[in-house]
Amino acid sequence: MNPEMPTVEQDPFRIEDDTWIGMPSSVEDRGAPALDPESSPFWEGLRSSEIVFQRCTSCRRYTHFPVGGCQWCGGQVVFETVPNADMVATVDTFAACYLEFGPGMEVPYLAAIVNPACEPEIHLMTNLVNVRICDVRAGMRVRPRFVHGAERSLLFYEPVGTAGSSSELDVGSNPDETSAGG
Amino acid sequence: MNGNVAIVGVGFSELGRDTGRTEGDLAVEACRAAIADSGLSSADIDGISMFPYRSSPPNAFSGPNLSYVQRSLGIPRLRWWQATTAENGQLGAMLISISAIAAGLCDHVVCYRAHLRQQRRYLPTRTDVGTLYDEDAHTVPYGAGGGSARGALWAAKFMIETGLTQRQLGLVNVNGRHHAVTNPHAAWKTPTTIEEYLDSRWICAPLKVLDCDYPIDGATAVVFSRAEAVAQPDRAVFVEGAATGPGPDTTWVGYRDKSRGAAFYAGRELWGRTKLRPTDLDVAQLYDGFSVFTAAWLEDLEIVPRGGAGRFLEEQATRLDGALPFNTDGGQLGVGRLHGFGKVAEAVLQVRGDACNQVADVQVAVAAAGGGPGSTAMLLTKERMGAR
Repeated sequence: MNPEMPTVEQDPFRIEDDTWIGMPSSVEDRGAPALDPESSPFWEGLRSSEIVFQRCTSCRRYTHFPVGGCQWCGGQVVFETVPNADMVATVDTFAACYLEFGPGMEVPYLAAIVNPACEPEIHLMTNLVNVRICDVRAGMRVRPRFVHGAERSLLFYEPVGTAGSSSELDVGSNPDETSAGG
Repeated sequence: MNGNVAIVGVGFSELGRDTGRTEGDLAVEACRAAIADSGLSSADIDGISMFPYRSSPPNAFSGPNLSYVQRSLGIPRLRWWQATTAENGQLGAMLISISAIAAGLCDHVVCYRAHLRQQRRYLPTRTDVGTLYDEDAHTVPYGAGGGSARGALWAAKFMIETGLTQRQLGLVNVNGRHHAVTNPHAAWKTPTTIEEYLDSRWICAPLKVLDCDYPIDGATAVVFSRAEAVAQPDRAVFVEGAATGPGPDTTWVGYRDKSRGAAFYAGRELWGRTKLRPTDLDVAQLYDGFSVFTAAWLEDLEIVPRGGAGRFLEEQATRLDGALPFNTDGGQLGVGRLHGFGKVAEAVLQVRGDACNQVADVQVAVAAAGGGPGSTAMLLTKERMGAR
């Protein structure tokens, strides 16, 4: 896997609001994903601060969200833990929500779709945290922040090089570090 | 297609913010009006098509029970019906009506969309959400399961990739509200200025409140006939083509290039099946549930080149006397949310010469609805073109 990020053309597009978006105080009241056989490895992976994607046994590409085969070639898929270095991502698109479009959301929040390094064509829904709204750019490099609630964990992203964190990937080493609301 | 199916009637219900009526009652009013407009009677109608299928328990978004409409209209001899969801965009129910007639399953289909004003933005409590499946499981917990948040993510990508500015995006609203002033059925009777747009509040940036269509109670119905069975040939409008995507993917979040959604593929399919070209269009009715989709349709239907929508809007080419008038009734930003069906109804009225804001000598119109992975476009003509 090429560790290089896909190049996304830098653009002046930005949302001019200097509100700081920190970690959510709780993720308890957000919707609960069904833990069916096809998706539970992904959700269980998040519980231990790992990204577990389906991967094709034929073309070797990762795919997400979990389905019954490889979205790129139709091949057989198995779940695999993504290596830490490949969990970083780039921001594909983002929006600042000033009304809650889902249960349990605190406004404003940043909805974003990111492309993980392990498979840049995957489009992963997330919330961006530890960033000012006006500083978000398409193509920005971000890394995972796992947020653990009592019942479930969610996968957020923050800018690489966020103050107070190492620029090296250390996510996954301390699952309790980012516990929220549990 | 190529004219083997025609639209022979259109009808609306009362439209309003709070009609106090049921969606079934509104649907029946619109269907009766459309059938009367077509010169047919209930006894001639042998197909019914609607979207989306009524949920249980009912909610404001989903339509009425199909049996309620069939029995209320007193249709005695039904040969085909369907109640689909909206996976080809709002016009999927029309696309399948055309297909059913072309396949010989029926001759005259009444196709409707009826809904009450949606009063809640999206599933506000976890109790309402319940357990999440499929794509929802990966979007709802991040506050982007649907509606404006999802639209805003597509809008941002389109703006990032094409350079469309906020000010240019706002001109979609200004255009619609300008036309709505002279439409007696429009919810909005006052125009907007670009300054008002820029001062309006954010819903989900880059979408402002004036980028989102105006929720109303209402119903729109259209009657399709097999071309050879048209009752009033001088009033028929022919379906020269219809196309949907969605190209490489069927999901809102997973769709790879959100600046070229299903509409991009629908556009190529549409023009690939006809002798007509984008320059033959006299009017365009382009989906404005979120204004960004109007801008996308302009590019995806090859009316303007990639990146050209903003400039086209700035030149006021979209006004009644412009190069290509669009959303001539006021659209969903001015009339209110008729959820795609209003696009086809207005296109038909323009081709027939019956529109409230009539453009002179309309021969060819396009109606397009939807955004993201669910989009359908329909090409309508005054003359039956014949096979390619």
